[in-house]
Amino acid sequence: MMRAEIRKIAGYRFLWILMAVLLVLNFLLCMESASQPEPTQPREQTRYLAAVESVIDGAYRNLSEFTAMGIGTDAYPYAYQIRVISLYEYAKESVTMPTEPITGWQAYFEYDAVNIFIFVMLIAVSAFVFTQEEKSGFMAILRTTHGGRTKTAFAKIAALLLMSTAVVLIFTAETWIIFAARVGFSDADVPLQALPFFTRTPYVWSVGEYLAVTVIGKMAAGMIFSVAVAAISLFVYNYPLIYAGGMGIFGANYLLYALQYQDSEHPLKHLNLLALATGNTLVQRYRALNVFGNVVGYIPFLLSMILVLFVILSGIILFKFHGGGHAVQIPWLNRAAAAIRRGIDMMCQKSYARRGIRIRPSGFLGTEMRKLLLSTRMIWVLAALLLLKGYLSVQLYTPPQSYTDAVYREYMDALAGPMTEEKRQYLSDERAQINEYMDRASEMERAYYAEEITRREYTEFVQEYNRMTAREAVFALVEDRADFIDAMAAEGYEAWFVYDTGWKTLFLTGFDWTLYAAILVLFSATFAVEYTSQTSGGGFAQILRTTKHGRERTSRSKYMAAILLSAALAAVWNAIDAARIFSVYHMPMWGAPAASVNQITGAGHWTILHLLLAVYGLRIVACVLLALLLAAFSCIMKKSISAIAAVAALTLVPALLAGLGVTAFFRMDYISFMRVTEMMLQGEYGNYLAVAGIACAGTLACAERMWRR
Amino acid sequence: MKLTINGISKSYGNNRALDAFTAEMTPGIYALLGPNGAGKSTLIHILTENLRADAGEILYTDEAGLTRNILAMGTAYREKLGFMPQYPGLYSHFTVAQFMGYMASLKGVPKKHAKEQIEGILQAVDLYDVANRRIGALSGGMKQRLTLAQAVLGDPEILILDEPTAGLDPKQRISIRNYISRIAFDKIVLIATHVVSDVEYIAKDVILLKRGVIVDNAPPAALTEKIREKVWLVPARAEDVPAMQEKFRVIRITREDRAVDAETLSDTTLRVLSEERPAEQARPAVPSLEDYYLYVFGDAVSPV
Ligand SMILES: Nc1ncnc2c1ncn2[C@@H]1O[C@H](COP(=O)(O)OP(=O)(O)O)[C@@H](O)[C@H]1O
Ligand SMILES: [Mg+2]
Repeated sequence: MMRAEIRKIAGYRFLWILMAVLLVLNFLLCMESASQPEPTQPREQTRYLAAVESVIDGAYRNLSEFTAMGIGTDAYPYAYQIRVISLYEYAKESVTMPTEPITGWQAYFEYDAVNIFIFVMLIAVSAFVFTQEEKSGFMAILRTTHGGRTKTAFAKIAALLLMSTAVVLIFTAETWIIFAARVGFSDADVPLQALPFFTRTPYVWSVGEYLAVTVIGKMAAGMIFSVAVAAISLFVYNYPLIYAGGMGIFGANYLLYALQYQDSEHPLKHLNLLALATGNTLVQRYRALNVFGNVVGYIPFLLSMILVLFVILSGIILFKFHGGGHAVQIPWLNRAAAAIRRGIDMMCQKSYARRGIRIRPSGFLGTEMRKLLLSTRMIWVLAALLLLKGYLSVQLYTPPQSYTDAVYREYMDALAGPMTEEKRQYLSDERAQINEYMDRASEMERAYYAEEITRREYTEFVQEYNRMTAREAVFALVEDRADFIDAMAAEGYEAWFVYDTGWKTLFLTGFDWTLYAAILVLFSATFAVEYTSQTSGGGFAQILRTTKHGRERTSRSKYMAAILLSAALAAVWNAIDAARIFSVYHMPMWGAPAASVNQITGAGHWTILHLLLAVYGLRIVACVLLALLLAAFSCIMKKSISAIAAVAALTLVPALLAGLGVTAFFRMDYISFMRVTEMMLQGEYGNYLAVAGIACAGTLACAERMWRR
Repeated sequence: MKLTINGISKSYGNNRALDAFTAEMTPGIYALLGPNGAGKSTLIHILTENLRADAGEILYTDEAGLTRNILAMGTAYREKLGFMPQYPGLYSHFTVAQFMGYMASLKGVPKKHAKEQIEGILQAVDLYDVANRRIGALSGGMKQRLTLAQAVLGDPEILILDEPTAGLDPKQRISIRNYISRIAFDKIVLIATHVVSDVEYIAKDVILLKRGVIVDNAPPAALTEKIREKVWLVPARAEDVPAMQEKFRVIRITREDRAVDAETLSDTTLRVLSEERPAEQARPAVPSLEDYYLYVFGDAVSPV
């Protein structure tokens, strides 16, 4: 039965494609990370012993302090120190430092990006395991078969564990092979302590044994993660939501793992799935928790938590799979929904009673929009993303409160506008004043020590002097602007003094991944909605395509709907950012030349307003192109998820490669394309637009041919 | 108006689903009869331009006698079609009325006729009362009838129905069958089915399809004529039934409450297909289309 489950999953071509893409990405990143093959020379034995002894000494010191403070020998702090001493004493006796240099291992253990790919792959696999039958309507049959439910659930869990193990092994093996080929590994039978990062580990493992430990850690993390995603899938039965849930769990763990903590010893930094999958920080030194007064090391604690979690999640899965039911039931939400539905029904009934049934031949465009928004229920995902967008926008763009910005604004407001002789005078006066003040420092110091001025006078001077230094730093920026303005003038362009903090933020906003995601999920359904159906039969497309207007006109309306909706989405999303930025920053002088904004060069004679319109216009164009590409792919591939995978690969992989420094892809980077400003000012925008436009048109023509014939 | 199907073939990999299918259709009901996997849906998908044939052509001849390939006609051909697929997907969030309105637009039904036509059709297929319900909330039979309703909307010249009565109860079956025969007189109607009773009394011609090949193409009467004197009613005792099934092709077994024949104590009547009289007491029966279907495709049926 488990074999059957695995066969079902292996039948999804999407998973293979995703796996291939991820393996390629991992390959590229590995090549990047494995490029500095510097062998490390292990410490000498005496220095190692000295390091360990200092740990042990520290522990003894703590013990005597505890005794002095009256902490009992059976209390946790005391027991902890005892444990530390015994572990490190053992390590001290057992570890012998090698004399040969070590290659490869340190770099291999430091490479933790592979975990990202493993987790992404696991999300995709786990999302399918329990939902495929529900999607295909086979669930109803399965539920009625003799012993079908429980046995199937067990088989599915087993298959899930096996597949997650396989995924971990495949990615680990790939990484290992690449490092072996590119850097080469030295002897694995040396103590782990020989690697600089692990000098203080208490565990007496060889490097080879630690390799096995990391693989086991990855497997454990992978398994529990898979089971968690599968459990989510049983509650939502909707791929985008399952993926979102999986990404949520992964993201939370990743944040715990990667965030800068005030306290780097915070347990959550080490007790999370990413830390478990990586292993390094867990074994770097001895860490333990106080569990009812007992000293429990992080590793056994984490493993037992995982076991407990596994049992709980499996229980939930069994219960849910057995008990059936579709999506999660929230009583008050159900009641509310029922009330709304009743209301709508009543309204419909009324109009029905008055006028008979309402039949209006519907407009094509409206119908297509309706299908996109309602039939896929994507409007909910859209709403969630919009909320998230608002939240991020508020988080990201906070009012500038720094002293330097206030000074900068003061200068820029005073100077606002084009360069004039008066302003030149103002600048040199200010410079002279600042310099004079700064020069007085040594004089004042001398006077103070010579007791020519009082202490109070001197302190006041020092305070003022400190403020002046800060002012001076800002004023240097202002002078840079003045030089820049003169330089521009020499080339025949104009630039003004403008308080540009807000403008800079506005023009250089980051990649809007919520918008990208919204477009991806929404428009991948453009044609795919016509092919989905409860039974396997090709959906509505077969009827649609036999009607008079089902081909040419419908596809035209679909593309039109994609254009209009994506433009609207882009406009709304950018408007949120703009509204937030305009409300928290002072945004003066629309009419100033765009070059007045720091970092904006190459905008010619445009004003800020021109640039603003161009940037927003092009951002909308970029979104429309993305939507059209998705629509075309959804026609060719007939499935949302495949269209998403294809388009994500086409847009993100070049961006990733460009990010890794592959110069050939700088011009193909969709992420910069969607952000517009930088690419436009570098003069590359036209090129990419042409490439993207041609690619889009080609795909569209291909899709159109398929749809029409 | 005439539809000429010339040597249509279609393979899926090595599996030949349709082999040189040739037929000619004029207004009237045609039954495409065959077991599952015979290739009925494949032919229908080619006729509705959802699928391209590997070989062969389909020609349409209009009232004026002009003959054209349907692929060259494009929209001009498709606007004459009404299609009810075997496994439809409908937009579950549309109401019945909205859906029909959308279909009217798709089919280019003039606005002023649309409302009237839709109401008429919905009444005929007994969906008028649920017109404001979401399609997702309809029962399987209702969805089936809605699929038929959209097919007949726009008064198409060519109506193609794939398993139209699947999932309907007997009463609905009969009412749908009557409805089809009522609207069929000026149309070419092709009904694909494996249920003989759906088409027995209404089909002008029956095309029997077996593994992609036409076995027969003739009016029902001509087909039943072929097995005249080959269908028998044989009285038997219950314990003899298995032996009879070994020897003959038994189509139907009817068990009576009491002995039908006092002398032999027979309490069972077997309907048997046989070239010769299978037993002394056997009487010839009037052959039906179902007998013929089983004659071509079927082996014995199991006891009731
Ligand atoms: N999309 C497909 N891919 C592969 N084989 C198919 C496909 N559709 C149908 N077939 C095969 O073609 C043959 C005819 O199928 P179909 O036309 O659906 O038969 P029917 O409608 O008479 O039950 C069957 O053997 C079936 O397995
Ligand atoms: Mg079929």
